[in-house]
Amino acid sequence: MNNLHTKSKMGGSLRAGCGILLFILLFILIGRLLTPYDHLSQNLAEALESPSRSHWLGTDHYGRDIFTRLIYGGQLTWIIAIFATLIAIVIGTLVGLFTAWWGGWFDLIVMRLVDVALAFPRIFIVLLVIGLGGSSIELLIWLLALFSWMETARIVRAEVSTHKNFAYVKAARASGLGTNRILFRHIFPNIAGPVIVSAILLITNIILVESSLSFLGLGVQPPFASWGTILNEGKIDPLGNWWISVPAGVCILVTVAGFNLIGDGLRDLFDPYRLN
Amino acid sequence: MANFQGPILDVHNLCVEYSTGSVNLFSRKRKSAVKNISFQIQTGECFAVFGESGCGKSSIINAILAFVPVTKGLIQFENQNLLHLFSSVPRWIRPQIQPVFQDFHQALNPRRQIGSLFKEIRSIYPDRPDSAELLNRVGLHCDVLHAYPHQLSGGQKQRVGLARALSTNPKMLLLDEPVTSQDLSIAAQILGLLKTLQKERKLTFLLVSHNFSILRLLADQVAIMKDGGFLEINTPGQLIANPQHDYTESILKQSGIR
Amino acid sequence: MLSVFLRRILSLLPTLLIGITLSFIIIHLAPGDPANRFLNPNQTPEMQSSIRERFGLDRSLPVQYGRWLKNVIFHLDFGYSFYSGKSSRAVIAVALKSTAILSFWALVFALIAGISLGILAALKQNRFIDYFCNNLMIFFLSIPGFWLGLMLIGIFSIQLSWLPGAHLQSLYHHQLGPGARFWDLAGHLILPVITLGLPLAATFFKYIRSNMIETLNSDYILAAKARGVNRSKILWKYALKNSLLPIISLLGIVIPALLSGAVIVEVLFALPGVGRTMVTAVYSRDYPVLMAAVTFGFIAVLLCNLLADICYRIVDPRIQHSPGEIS
Repeated sequence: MNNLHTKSKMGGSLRAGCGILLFILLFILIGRLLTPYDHLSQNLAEALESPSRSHWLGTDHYGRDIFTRLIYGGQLTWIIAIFATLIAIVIGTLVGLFTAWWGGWFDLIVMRLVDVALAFPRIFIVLLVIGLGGSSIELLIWLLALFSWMETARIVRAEVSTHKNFAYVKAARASGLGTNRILFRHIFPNIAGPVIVSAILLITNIILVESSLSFLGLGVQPPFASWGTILNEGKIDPLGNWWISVPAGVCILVTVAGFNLIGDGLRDLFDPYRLN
Repeated sequence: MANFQGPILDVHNLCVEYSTGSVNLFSRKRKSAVKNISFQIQTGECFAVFGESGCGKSSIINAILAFVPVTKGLIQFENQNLLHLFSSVPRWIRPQIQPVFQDFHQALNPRRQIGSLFKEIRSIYPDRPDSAELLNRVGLHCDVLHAYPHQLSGGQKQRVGLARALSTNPKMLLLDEPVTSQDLSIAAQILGLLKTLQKERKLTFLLVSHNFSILRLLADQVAIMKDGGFLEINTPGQLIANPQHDYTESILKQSGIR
Repeated sequence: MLSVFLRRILSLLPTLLIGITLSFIIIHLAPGDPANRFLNPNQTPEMQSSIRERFGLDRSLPVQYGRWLKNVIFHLDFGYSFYSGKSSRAVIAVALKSTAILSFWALVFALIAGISLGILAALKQNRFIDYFCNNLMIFFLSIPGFWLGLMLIGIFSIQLSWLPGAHLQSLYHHQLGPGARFWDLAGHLILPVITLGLPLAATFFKYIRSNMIETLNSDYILAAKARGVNRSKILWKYALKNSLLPIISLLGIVIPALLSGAVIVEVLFALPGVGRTMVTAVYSRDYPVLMAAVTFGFIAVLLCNLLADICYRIVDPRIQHSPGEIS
């Protein structure tokens, strides 16, 4: 009885998360049809207006429509997060697969490097590279990705080390199948679950790191904006001009919460042993 | 190589060690699994290794298939050395030695249909027998091709494993606890099947088990293994009549043979 | 046991060296010239090169690195700030104190909040309080820390004027008596500690809750219940002990995140910590201060990791000192 109850709750968090993300995606993808404004064009005559019928969420210091900027900012936030996560997952999966498969010295050295990378406060290096070298969206994506793949690599490595000793893998090796074929066609489908869960957790992390970098002025540079940049623009008077920062903050919060809900739901779905 | 004479498999002074984790890059702890064992198997023979779990008997199979690095020794298959550089079995020998694993954890890939297994093997060795034919041979209907492993019973999985091993037309099968997980009637069926296949295809078996009653039914030679080494090698009849070691005797007693 | 610690410390050195070297390369290869900061348009190229010479920037990168490393190792000398002329070591040592105070109290806050709510939720599994805590924690896990801080400043400092929203102490701090100084510091710390601690508390909460539920449903607890062992004894003696252990190993993962979070919080609340010093140094291209900050940051993280590891070994004697180290 207890179990049934928990099961339905798990499905609930998965569904709630999907619903939230679908809503946000719709907002950033087709939202621009609802607004007549451009996200970059300034109109100082209408600067810092509070929400009204013509500007649903008011305007910022340069008279740009906040609602429109949220839509475009969301696109940028999502693009950065998705690409960085994809790159990180691909690197992490490849490293995990091959370290576990080859083992030996290669494994020892690579995993020691992973330890090194994990021990460092990521923001230090990002701060150095972007603060000193300047920022671009491509650089941001690569940096975020390069400092996020380690957890995935560890998870994949642990899973592959287990599967490597399963009879089905040994049989495949004995029948002469190539390494790549065994790794990608046989083992990978079996460990895809944990990889997906780690991807979901990674994307929440990357969204938060990106927005805090943009908040520090190190991420997406004006006039372009991610949600973090918009928050930064509203920090001068967080309560007086609440319409600048609050909607952007809510957008980040809701998106990350959506992913977190999905992550929780998926983890329990893929790992039924945890529940009893 | 059809008229090959002499032992099909010749194992000489085999030693296998595992590294058990590592403190750092420079020092490793090693644990010996197989210590200095030698044996020969003639074509068409069934050689059995008896040992309790953890005695290193599965490591012999893993060493022959080059899944674990061999520390010392020689393994020859039809007079060709199996221990080449990079500890990998030469490609042309691979299909000739096939393992059949105990149907315990994940003997078949849970995410793939049975059919894809055979398709894949035929994509590497196009001249090998048809999958439906093979399945019929081991007593399965070809409907199984579209099934996933979790839809099959233990006995069916065991037969699929056997068919998979046969699909490369091997000369030798390595049987790792082939029938422990089934109940007796199914075990008897599989043993019978193994026997007919052996005769029909002139297969050589290397059988590894902790169940003496099963070994006895198939084996021509039995090696008693303890703590990584062989205590004695003899025919099952001789072992029962005249055991050389106390350990052998205690096993026979436990199995209810003496 | 002691040899294990020594070996662990030794094995940290290469890690540290790789990180520092990497940072040095990034810092010195980055575009932009610190010498330009002191120039006005009327100055000549000769003056620029003399500035570069004074800072040692005219040498090749390996020479600069060798010199820097030598001074650090033999004299613990990180050089002088290009900007203020103060010793970088002294600058960072002062900043480190603020960061340590902030991080420590944030960790304490997170542990207390996360663990107590986690236990509460696990005991009331699937009741209202469990759902409430769960959703609250997903909220704290998802909210961008700096925005939370921004809202806290807006409400409690600007709107209500209850708490200070910036700096670690008041301007008149040194004129206060000892008791008043403490309250002054505490007042300044409340908002930053909450901002930094809440997401962390959520991490601990999730961990404790699922661990606790797992333990409470495990066979030996059920067996103890069946034997009629007193409920509170089961809870405090068995379940809690086994659920708290993993927290220690979690600390190793959490501490780098804590320091990253501290950077944001320090900038937001204008606290004189390592993070804020770093951000300022990045913008003024103050290489010596930057390198000192990075080095101390790395050392802090590695030492905290080591400490967590040692605690774990002491508390849980089952852990042997070989296999798990690399994985």
